[in-house]
Amino acid sequence: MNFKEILELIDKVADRGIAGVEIEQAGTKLRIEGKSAAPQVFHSYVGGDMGGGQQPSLPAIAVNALPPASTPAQLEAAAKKAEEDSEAGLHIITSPIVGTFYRQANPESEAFVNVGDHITRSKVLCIIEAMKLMNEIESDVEGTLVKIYPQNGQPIEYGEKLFAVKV
Amino acid sequence: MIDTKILTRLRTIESLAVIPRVASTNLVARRVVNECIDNELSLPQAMIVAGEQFAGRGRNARFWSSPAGKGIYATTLHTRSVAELPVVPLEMANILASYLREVFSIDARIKWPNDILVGNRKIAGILIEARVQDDRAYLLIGIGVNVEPVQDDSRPNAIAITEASPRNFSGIEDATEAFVEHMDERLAHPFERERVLAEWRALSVHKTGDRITCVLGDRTVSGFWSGIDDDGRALLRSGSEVIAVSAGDLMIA
Repeated sequence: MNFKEILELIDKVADRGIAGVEIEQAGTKLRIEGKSAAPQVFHSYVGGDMGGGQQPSLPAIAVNALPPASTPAQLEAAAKKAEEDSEAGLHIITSPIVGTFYRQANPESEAFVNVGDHITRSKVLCIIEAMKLMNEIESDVEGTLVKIYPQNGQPIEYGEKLFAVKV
Repeated sequence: MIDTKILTRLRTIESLAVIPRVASTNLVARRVVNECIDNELSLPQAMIVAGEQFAGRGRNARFWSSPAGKGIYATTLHTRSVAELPVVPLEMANILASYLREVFSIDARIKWPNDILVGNRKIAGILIEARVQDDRAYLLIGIGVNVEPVQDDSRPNAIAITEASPRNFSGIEDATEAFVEHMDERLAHPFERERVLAEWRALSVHKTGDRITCVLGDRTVSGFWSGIDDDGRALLRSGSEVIAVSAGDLMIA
């Protein structure tokens, strides 16, 4: 399923007041919850899918937990930005889970990585906490870290951009 | 300190390290995990037990008082499938609460997601770290249990086993040995979502309609407790809306 099709599906769910749909295809699970019947998601898991070592094939937007302000236009803008980054030759590391983003192991320790660092494959880049479980997120490429998208302590959605790496 | 001969009776835990004094058992475990990953070695199914921690930490580096002879301080290295990961925080709470209930007849209850309370006082805490590679989740499960009260305790809401249990207490060695055996036995079973959720709900301290506030960074959400959903998220009802929470500190009003 490509990005355009996902957007169309979101529109359909919103327009028709459907409680939600869940689709599993080629190892990727996509769940879209309508606002009317389903609980509003403040912060959630994508059920069972927490493959930290594998990057999801979805584009770098949060489709699991749509905040009220996320309109299709905003999502398209985010996708466009991801494409621009991709065109610039950057590898984008996105979040495999929903949670809270931390740049260091604890408030007293140094950041795992900083912009300009050379990072290797399997290097731990950050922690994403969900239900008091600290998930360490590794790099899946070797290169130079050029951008860190979230702020420390910021809530993160599934598929949200975390890091840009010049490979 | 417990005798490592206990290993012959264990099913899941293959190695047991009993160390009199460490900074924190999670730090020791972390070094083992890093060593294994760096050298592409399989992770041992192991438990590290300390007599004392001089830098024990909970979530957000909060100090966890860990004086000698007063508590159980242990980190378990354990591998599960990635599919089981979402219920790990809840299952660890089930295991710890059931240990206190079965061994000491303590009415231990769970505050979402995995604080263990007796009354409104904390008796045990859990800090879990996970590293995922392919379909395996390498877990560091750090657990601290208050066994005897600590004088001049900086935690006014703490309670210890010897204060809460109606049974005769036979010493911290027996308590630690029972803990190791209980963990080992429970870890031998799959973490089936429905069973984990049902057990958690039965042991929960929360009642429908309890006033709850959740703090996540600079955001605060308030509502009434409406249980947990099938992903283990706390459901808070606020007016006509139900909010599903999967992170943050929950406070019971």
